[in-house]
Amino acid sequence: VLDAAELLDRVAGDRELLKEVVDVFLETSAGLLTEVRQAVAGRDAASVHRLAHTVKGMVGQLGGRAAFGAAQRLEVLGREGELDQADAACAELEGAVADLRPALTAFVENGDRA
Amino acid sequence: MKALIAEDDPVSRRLLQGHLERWGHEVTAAASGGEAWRLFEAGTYPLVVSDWMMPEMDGPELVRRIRACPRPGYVYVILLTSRAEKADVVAGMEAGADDFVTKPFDREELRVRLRAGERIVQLEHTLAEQNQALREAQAALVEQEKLASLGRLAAGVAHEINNPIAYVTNNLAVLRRDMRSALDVLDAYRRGRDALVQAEPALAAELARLEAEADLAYFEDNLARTCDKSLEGLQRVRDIVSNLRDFARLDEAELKEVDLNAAVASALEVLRHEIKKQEIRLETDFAPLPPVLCQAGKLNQVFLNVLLNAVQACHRGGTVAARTRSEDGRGVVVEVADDGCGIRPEHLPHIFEPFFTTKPVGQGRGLGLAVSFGIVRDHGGTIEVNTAVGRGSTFRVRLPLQPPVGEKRPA
Repeated sequence: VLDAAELLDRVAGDRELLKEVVDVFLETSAGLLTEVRQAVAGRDAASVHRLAHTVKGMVGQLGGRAAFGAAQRLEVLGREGELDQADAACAELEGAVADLRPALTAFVENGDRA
Repeated sequence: MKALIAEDDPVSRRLLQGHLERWGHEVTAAASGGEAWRLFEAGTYPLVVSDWMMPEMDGPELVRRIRACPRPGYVYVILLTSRAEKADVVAGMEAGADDFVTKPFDREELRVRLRAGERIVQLEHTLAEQNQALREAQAALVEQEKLASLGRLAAGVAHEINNPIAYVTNNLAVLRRDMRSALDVLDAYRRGRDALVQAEPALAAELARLEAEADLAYFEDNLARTCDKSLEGLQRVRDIVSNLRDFARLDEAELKEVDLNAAVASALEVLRHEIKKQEIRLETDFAPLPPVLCQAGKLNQVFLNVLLNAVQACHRGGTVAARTRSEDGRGVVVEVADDGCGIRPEHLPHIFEPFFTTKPVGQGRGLGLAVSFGIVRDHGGTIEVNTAVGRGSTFRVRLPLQPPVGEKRPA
């Protein structure tokens, strides 16, 4: 779910920056995922592509391997306009992000062990 | 170094900001390409790190706008992209990006790539400074050479003209006196006119005809005035020659005490024809000034340049005001105001730059104000301008009573 070593390297070992970045993620990810879900439901391929790309960038910086993969798949579906499988991919992404949240919270609170 | 971040993903944005600040940059972060563009237009950012894919204005479009925006100093742009394909790299470089970092970005990679950017910005800055210094030196040389040849020409012309002017003036006085005597002789002959009519009627008729034909009466009445006008004209020529010589005192590099009122008056005299041609109304307000230790010829050049600009900025029938005042023992101020076209805000930062001119190609070399600026600076003074488009400009030259002593001697 979470590559702790990668995450710690991305903030250069700065735990204060880590906490700030994780807070930003916890505050903004739910809203962003709602937008993704709405775009998928509305079969708006361009928005699916763009929003999934943003989510991918976000979780990519946080070491969220599973979420990154899911976002990437959804991004490709949006770009290719193949939204038949988008519902499943979206659900997968939501699941991965749902797993990532507590992992990140725990990592911020408990130190190096996620 | 001031850095601008354009990134719509808040997590990446916060991370970028955190890292760049840790590396000593002064960071401004924008959440969209549009916001970044507004910030860029309003500020100065030598480093820009932009995401590629953003809603509305994407990274390449932002770079294109940055490149199209005329700014002093280089802007180094790094695009962040998850697209690492060759076609995308080419498209980004075509848009004007300097470098790429793939997302999710690696901290160390970004750091060294930013360092490379910083080096390029600094090199460009150093180069621009050296270039500016070279241009100034070149402008000063060109101006010096121009003034030197003008000085030689003026001295030669003055010498050549003075001689004929002197004997024409003398001869005119002699002619006037001799004409008077000749007319007296003629008057004496006229007293015998009645006797001549009796004795030689044909000759008398011939004389009457010749006298009418020559309009002798008019000639007699106007002889004095014609001579006076001619002498006045000759005096004007002498004044012009003398002004030309005073003005081009270029060989005199040494400092001397000068009344700047006389210097301004001399510059106005040189421009008299131009002022008359443009029907400019001239207002002068000269306060008594303490003597100023300076290079007179060079300051004459400054006043001429500033006054000529004022005259040329005016519309036909405009007003140019030349004022001087003393600043209680510390220095003097020479102010030249016109009610002409004014200076456009985008030109204002450049008016003292060498070779900057708004005149059509061939009509101005863009050296006048640059050289004036240098001369005034070398005298320890300042030259400043207030301007409003359509309302006119006021140039103010402030000079200390003595130039600064020591390393920065006027050259």
